[in-house]
Amino acid sequence: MYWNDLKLGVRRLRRSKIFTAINFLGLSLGMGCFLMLSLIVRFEYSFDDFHLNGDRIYQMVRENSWENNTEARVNTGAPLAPLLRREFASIQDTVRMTLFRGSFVNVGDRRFRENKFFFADPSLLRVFTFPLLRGDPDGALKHPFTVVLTPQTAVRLFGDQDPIHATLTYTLNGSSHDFLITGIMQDIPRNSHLDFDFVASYSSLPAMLGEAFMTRHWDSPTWTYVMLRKGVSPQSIDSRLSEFSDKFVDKWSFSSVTHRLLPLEKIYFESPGPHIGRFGAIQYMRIMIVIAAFLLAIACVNAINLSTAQSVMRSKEIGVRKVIGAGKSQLIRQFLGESLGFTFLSLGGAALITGLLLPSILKSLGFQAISGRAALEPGFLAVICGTIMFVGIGSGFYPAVVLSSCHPASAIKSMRGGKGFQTRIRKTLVIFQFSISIALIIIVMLFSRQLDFLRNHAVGFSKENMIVIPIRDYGVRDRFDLLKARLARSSRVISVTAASIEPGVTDQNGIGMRWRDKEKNDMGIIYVDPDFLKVLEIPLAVGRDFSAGNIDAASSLLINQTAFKMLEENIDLEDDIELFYREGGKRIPVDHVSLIGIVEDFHFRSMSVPMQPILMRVDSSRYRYILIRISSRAVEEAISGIKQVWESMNFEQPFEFTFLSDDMRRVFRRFQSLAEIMRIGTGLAVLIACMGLFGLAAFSLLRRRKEIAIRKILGATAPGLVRKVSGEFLLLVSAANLIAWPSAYWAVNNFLQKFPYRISIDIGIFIAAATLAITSALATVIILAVKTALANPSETLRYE
Amino acid sequence: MIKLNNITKYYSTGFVKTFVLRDITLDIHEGEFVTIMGPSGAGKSTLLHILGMLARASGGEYFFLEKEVHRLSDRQQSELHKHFIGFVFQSYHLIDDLTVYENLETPLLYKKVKGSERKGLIADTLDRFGIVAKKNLFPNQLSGGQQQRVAIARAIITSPKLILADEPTGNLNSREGEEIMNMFKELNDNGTTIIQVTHSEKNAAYGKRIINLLDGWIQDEEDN
Repeated sequence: MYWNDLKLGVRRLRRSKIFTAINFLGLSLGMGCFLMLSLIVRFEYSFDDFHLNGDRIYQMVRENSWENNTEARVNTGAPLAPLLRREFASIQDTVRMTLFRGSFVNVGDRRFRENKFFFADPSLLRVFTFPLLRGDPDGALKHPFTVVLTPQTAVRLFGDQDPIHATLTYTLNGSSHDFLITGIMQDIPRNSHLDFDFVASYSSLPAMLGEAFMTRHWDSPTWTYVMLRKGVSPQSIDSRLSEFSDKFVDKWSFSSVTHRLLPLEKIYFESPGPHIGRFGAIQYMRIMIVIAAFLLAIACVNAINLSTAQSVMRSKEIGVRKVIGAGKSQLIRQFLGESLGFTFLSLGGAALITGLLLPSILKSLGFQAISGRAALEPGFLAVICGTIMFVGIGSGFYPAVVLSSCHPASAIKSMRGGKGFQTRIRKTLVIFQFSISIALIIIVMLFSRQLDFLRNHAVGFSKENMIVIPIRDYGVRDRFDLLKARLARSSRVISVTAASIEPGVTDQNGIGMRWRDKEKNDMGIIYVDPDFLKVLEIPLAVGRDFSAGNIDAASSLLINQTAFKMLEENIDLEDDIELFYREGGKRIPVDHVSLIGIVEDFHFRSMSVPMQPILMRVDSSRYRYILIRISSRAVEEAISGIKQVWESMNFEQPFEFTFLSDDMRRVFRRFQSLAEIMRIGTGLAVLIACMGLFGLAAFSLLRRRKEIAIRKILGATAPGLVRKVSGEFLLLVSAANLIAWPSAYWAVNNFLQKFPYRISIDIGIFIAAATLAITSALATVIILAVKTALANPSETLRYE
Repeated sequence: MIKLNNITKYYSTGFVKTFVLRDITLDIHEGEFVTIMGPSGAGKSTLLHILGMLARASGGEYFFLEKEVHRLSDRQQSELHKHFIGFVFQSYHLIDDLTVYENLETPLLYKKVKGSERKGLIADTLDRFGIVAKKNLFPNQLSGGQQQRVAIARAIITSPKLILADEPTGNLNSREGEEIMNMFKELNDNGTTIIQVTHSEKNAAYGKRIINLLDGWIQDEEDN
């Protein structure tokens, strides 16, 4: 019985090759994308699942409050951990990790720039599951100036040589120390938010940076993790943290500081910056899941539509089978078997697509590679099976159940029929498919537009042709004046300046100010070279610039318009302002300055945050970035000229540079990838929907061959027929717009609210999307319509 | 074998009932060869469908082999007609995607006949109808007469007691038609009850009894 059904199924597929191909392709594409996105999503949610103590590990998050703002950060400072251990008996262990980016490592006479050289407590190896391949887990990180490496790093630095007991030299800001290699740590898994190349002993730091770092610096790049004792609930600690922080933590210039626990499994997505390692974007996941679901839905609807349309043709066969003795269950089994089999085949196609395309897609989107083995996990297999069942049964349902119940006599006759219920369902499904596609098109277009807007929006300073050199070595800072003079003489260099930030990219510092008997505790402040405003072409609203004559730059202050408004305009030029820090509850005065001008607002941070108030003063000891404007012609020449000057200065730090506009653009990289995914997903959605439409149109026309032939005989013209047939389908697609437009609008509006600077949504996009969908549908249907309209009526009517 | 009492059939569209059969009462005994005749729209095919349990009457009683068909559920009816009735259509209605052999096999599969028995039955039937050479061909590779022969073969392969034929020679030329009618006669001589619907006087002559329908009524009966 089953063998016969199988043979029958295969023959039928071969007969209607086009429809089979369309169905297969659409389903494979839809399922393939669904699989790919599922794999990606699954991987992203699997971060940090390999730690044996995982359910007891938490990251300490610090919350600073001032005025009406609260900011969450995860750099806690070194003093936190020992205090926590002392005050909370239910904390079993703490791990501190500190990272200084842009340090150097020397092995022999080879020098490497290293961004993943961490310092960590020995408890790292007890709390987290990072096994040592070689070396003693208890002793490897105990003594100062010891370090363990990953195998990849070892190969990179030492080649074939055995690194154990060798030394390397670590250089930070000009000072170097030798470290003894005491172990090799297993390569860090890809789904770990922590990513080390080196882990050095934490006890090295006091010797390198002084005791103050360990006991008083609350703002260093140190992350703190805790492991609770078994059975302890995090709430019992959370509730006491605010009291603890109040008592022991230096508030600096914030009005209050507190801490909270962030469980390990949430760190990847929810940890606020600054990030210690890898981090994920939850909006990504949500959008990907939605797109995956949409694609699958569209493909399924296709399969269902096409198969139900086909089954109308088979109602005659069903009737005949019933006459010759088929029972209802036998028929159901036959049709469900066919559709499940077909779905299974499409899964094969989907797996092929996934296997071939996934690696390159991941790479181009900036994701990490995923091992295919993930696909064989029971959870994932369950998803696959569920999908097959859902699609297979859905597409087989109509012929299997509904048609089988018809009386044989009416089934045989009903091949002509089909108006009414079935047709309405099919039309509804087509509208559904196209609504999704149109909505996706609209959303993607608006999203891209918002991105472009952010990228191109006036930032308030001139960002083109700016070279950025990060300062990593004190030596550079100390000799900046000389460097600046020499650079200025280089051809193609227009101007040179420096600042404590990279405008549009990095964050500013904070400071307190006091003037006219008022105080503000945490004002943003950036430290700039006197020529900063000139070089970046930032206009002055009121007053004078640092570079004007008769200015003692060191005791001058500039503020921006937003700051001026924030201070309620209650400040004047020449006003004396005292700058101070808060530390340990005390007020530590820094300096007195005098306000010399107000600067027009410019986006010193990325445009995804609103404009903030900022102070500006000159302080060369704070410079972290050199900014050089070069001529827009002969960029290569300019860069080599700068390189020559740099090398003539004999700095410890090798020459490196980036373009400011590139760095600013990179801030948007995550959003770019997202936009790419959405674009691809939308394209596919439209494609699959059109394929479905093609199939449906083909069937509908097939059924109406007789009607069309008769119309021709009665005098209808081919163009007229084409118009009539296409018109009906276009009506469907137009109806889809009615659903798509409001839904898309709502979705995009929601999303745009998160951006302080955003585009306005105009009708043009909606019309463009609708046009695109209608054009695709039209193109799909017209070919068929023309073919049918041109068919010879006598051919068609011959068999009646 | 068959007893119809006041069978009626109508279709309702809105408030209007369109009667196709009115008050049909007749008896048919085993071994008879009955022809139902009448102009188009007289309800002949409908009557045949009701007899074959492919459709339900709107009113009246239908007894088949003493069983009250009108009271049976769809499934019970299906069981009944699967075992006792074979149907032959004017347009053959073979399954296009199956070979002749497979077409013949299908009713046996639905009856759950075992493999070796199936093979034997099919071989016999192919032989009897002279279509052994065609067993691996598809219906669209056969002529009309050959297709109808296969259709009849399919109808009788389960050894039904009753064969219902709806214009069996309608799509055939006169020579093929004659062949088919001879086959029916042979089957009838061997004990199978046959009820056919036809326009053709010639075909009617093969039967022993003619029932004339007009506008849903039995007009008269005659014997051959």
